[in-house]
Amino acid sequence: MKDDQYADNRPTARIDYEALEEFIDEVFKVAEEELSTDEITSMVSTWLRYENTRFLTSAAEKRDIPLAQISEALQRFMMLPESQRNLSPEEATGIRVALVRRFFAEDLDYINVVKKHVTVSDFAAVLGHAFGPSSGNGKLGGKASGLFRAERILADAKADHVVLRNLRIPRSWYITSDGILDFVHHNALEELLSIKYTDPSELRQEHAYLRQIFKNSFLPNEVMNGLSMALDDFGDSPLIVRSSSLLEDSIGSAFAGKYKSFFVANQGTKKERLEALAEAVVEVYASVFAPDPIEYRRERGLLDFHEEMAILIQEVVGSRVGDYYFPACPGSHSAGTSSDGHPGSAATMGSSAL
Amino acid sequence: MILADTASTLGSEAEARVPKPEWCVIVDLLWETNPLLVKRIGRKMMNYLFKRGVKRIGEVMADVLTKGPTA
Repeated sequence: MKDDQYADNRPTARIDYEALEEFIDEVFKVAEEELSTDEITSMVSTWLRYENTRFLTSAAEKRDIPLAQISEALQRFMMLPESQRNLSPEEATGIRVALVRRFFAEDLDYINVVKKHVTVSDFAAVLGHAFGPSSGNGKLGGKASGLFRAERILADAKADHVVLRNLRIPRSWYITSDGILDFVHHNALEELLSIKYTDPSELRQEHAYLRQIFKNSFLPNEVMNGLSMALDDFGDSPLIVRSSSLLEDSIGSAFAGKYKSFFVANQGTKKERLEALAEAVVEVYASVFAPDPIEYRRERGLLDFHEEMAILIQEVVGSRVGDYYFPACPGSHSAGTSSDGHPGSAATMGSSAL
Repeated sequence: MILADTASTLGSEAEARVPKPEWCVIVDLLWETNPLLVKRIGRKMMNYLFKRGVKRIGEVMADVLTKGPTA
C-alpha cells in the first residue's frame, strides 16, 4: 500500500509561521520583478487606504453586534471625508449583507435583492433614526424591512422613471424589536411571554385586562429618550405608530391586520405629545399578546417562534383642514392596520380631530 | 587585504545609498509594526499578480505552500 494512497482525505500538512512570512516576502519579490514601481506603490496605497475603514468591516461582521456599537461605527465612517470612505468592493458587499442580516432579514431572497440597491450610507441614515436597548441586538422587523426594500428600489428607479422623481418616503423612526423585551422586564411582566400557550378562550377573555396592565406600565428611559428625539424631529406632524414584528410580512405569514397600528394626532405640549406617543407604542406591544395574532400563529405552527415587535413611527402625509387632518392617500380596511406601505391608509385618520 | 575590506565596505555603503522604492520602505516598516497588515496586503498582492497573469506567483505558491511539513 502506498503512503500517499489516502493523501486526499488527510489534513493538509502545516508549514511553519516563518515560512508563511517568507512566502509573503516572495510575493513582494515577484511583484518587484514583474510590475513597475509606480504600479506597486499605487496598489499598496489603495490597500492601505482600505485599512482606514476596516473598523466598519470588523463591526458589521460581528454577529448580533449591539445597536450602540454598530451605530457608532457607521457614524464614524460617515464622518470621514468622502475621499477617505474607501472600501474594497468585496468588503463593501460584505458590510451591506451583514447589515441587512443584522437589522432586516436573514431571508436569502430578501438579501439578494436588497444588497443590489443599498449603500452603507443608507444604513447610517436608518440607524440614525433607530433606538432601543443600546446593548441589545434587536432588528427593525418585517414591515420596516419591506419599506426599506421598496424605498431603495424606488430610489434607484428614479433615474429612469420621471413619474417617480417627486416620490417621497414619509419620515420614519424605528424602535428595535428587542424594545418589547426590555419593556416586559422593566415592568416585571415576564409571565406574559408564555401566555401564548394559554387556552384561546381564556386568552380572549383576559386580553382587555392585559391591555390595561400594559397601558399602566412604563417604557424604559432609553426608549422614552428616543421617542423624545423622534418628536423633536417630527415636530407636530400627525404620526402613525405601526407594528413591525419579526414574523410580520414574512413568506406565508403576512399577519395582515393582526397587529395594531395607531394614529397619533401629535398635538399639544411636548409632554402631552410624548405621553400620547408612548401610549400608542405600548398598545402596539400589547397586541403581540392579543388572541387573534396568537391564534393566527398557532394555526401556522409559528407559536414557538421567539416573536419580537419593532415599531415604525411615521409622519402622516396629508393636509390639515381646520381641526381635521386628511391623509394624502387614505385606504380602506377595518382593522386599523395598514399593510400597503402607506401610512395614510388608516381609515380612522380621515376624520381624526386634531 | 585591507584594500579588499575597504572596497567591500564601500560597496555595501553604495548599495545602501540606492534609495528603496516608497512601497518597499512602507512594507519593511509594517513588518516591524503590524505584521498582520503586511500579510493582508501580501495576500491582496498575490491575488493581484494572479489577476495580472503573472505565472510565477503560481510557482512560488506551489513551491512554498505545498512542499510539506516544516514544523
